[in-house]
Amino acid sequence: MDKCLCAQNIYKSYKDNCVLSGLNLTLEPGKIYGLLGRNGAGKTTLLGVLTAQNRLDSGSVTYGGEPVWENRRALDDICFSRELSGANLSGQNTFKISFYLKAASMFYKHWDGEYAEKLLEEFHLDPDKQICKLSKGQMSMVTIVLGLASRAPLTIFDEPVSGLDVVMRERFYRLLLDDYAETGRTFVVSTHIIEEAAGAFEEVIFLDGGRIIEKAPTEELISQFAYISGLEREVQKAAAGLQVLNRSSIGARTVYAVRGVKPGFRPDADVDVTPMNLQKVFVTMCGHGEEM
Amino acid sequence: MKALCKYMCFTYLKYYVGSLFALGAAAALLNLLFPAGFFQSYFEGFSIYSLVMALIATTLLTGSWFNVALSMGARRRDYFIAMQLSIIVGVAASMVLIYAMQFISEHAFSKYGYDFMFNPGMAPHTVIAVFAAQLVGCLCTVAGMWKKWLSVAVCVVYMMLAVTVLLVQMTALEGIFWFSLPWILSGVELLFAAGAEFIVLRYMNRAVVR
Repeated sequence: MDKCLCAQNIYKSYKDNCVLSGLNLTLEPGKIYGLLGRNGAGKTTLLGVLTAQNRLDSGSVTYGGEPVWENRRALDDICFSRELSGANLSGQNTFKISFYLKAASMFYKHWDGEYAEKLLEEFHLDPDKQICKLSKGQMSMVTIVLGLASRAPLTIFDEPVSGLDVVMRERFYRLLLDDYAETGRTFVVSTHIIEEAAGAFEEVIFLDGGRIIEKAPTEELISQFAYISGLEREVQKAAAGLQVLNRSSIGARTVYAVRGVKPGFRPDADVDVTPMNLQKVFVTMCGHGEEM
Repeated sequence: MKALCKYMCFTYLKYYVGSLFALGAAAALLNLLFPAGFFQSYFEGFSIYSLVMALIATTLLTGSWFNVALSMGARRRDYFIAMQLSIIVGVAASMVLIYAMQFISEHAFSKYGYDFMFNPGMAPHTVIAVFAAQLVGCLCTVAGMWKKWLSVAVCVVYMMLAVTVLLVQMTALEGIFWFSLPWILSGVELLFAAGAEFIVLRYMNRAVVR
């Protein structure tokens, strides 16, 4: 339970497209991490590489000091619950939910069958239903069942809430937090629906340009960012000494997105200071000026 | 490894051996119910059907079943070894059933003169054919990921070769063909199998979950 997953200087390309470029990451045990990145940022590739489901071009991934690749001891402790699809290598994914559950019971060393049954009931899933006949949300529910019931010390979810309605998304995060409170195992959740998940993430990881551009405790990170708005001259004065990440104008007012704000920040200027939420922080850092 | 052996029983062996037994039972039952010979070919050609089924059943071994196992943390080399073991079990099950069908043919249908496509004296050829068929089935999926037509081509070429082997071995002891011909053809099948094994192993070692 107290093993770290470490990725050191990892590179991964698909033909000429470099997806991961000298990436370093350490996942400490007993935390819930949120992995955030834009479409095509390489989140799934990174998670695949961390769990030996995808090959590295160079670099190393270790778990408890041992390489993850083809290592039984490491793989026994890791569950990467991937997004399911209605199509597989053989055409339509005609496997039933029960097939996945049975396979999971064979491969996941810490598998909790009773918990899986309970989750199936909670999500109203029929185990005899084929994957290709499920809705996108129901497929997500299956991946949630597999991930949670795996009871793996390191459990990774790739887009677990995609296709889920807001009620089910809330239920997922409640289940995740309940499980975390009970077992203290490590979770990594990649998602695009940031704001709803922000409260569950102890730390967030921003992936951009093939590298980790930020890894920090969620609250600590958010507290460093703010919008300063007002007349241009006043805003400039207030932002002195802060890192200005973005500038925009709304009529006569200028808005700066800044980083480096200290708790209780009150500038000596006629400006409004608005705190950011995690989604805004993400957009500011990874939006490349496209949006503020 | 234990988990993978269980997984193979739950997936490949269940489907392959199960469908073989179902086919055998259906062929025997149909011939008992309609002894006039209407379903004679189902019975006589059982060894060819088992080849076809071996080819079909194994396509998932390097396809979806492999993908699911890998996504749940199975090791590539363990999967490859478990796959080899299950292929051996599959060959054994095929042979047991072919012998059983031949026995039934001789005893239940001898008066109709069924010409069962299996020559016990040349059983090694059938073993090689079924063994190679399973590996070629695995190869077809791998080839299909690269080029679809290649998958079909491999399948067709192998089936033509294997059926020729089975037909030749039936009559080999009667001296119609040059006696070494079945062995030469089986040698070609083994080369096919070795090539398939090499390509499948290479694919598995580099496989990525999709």
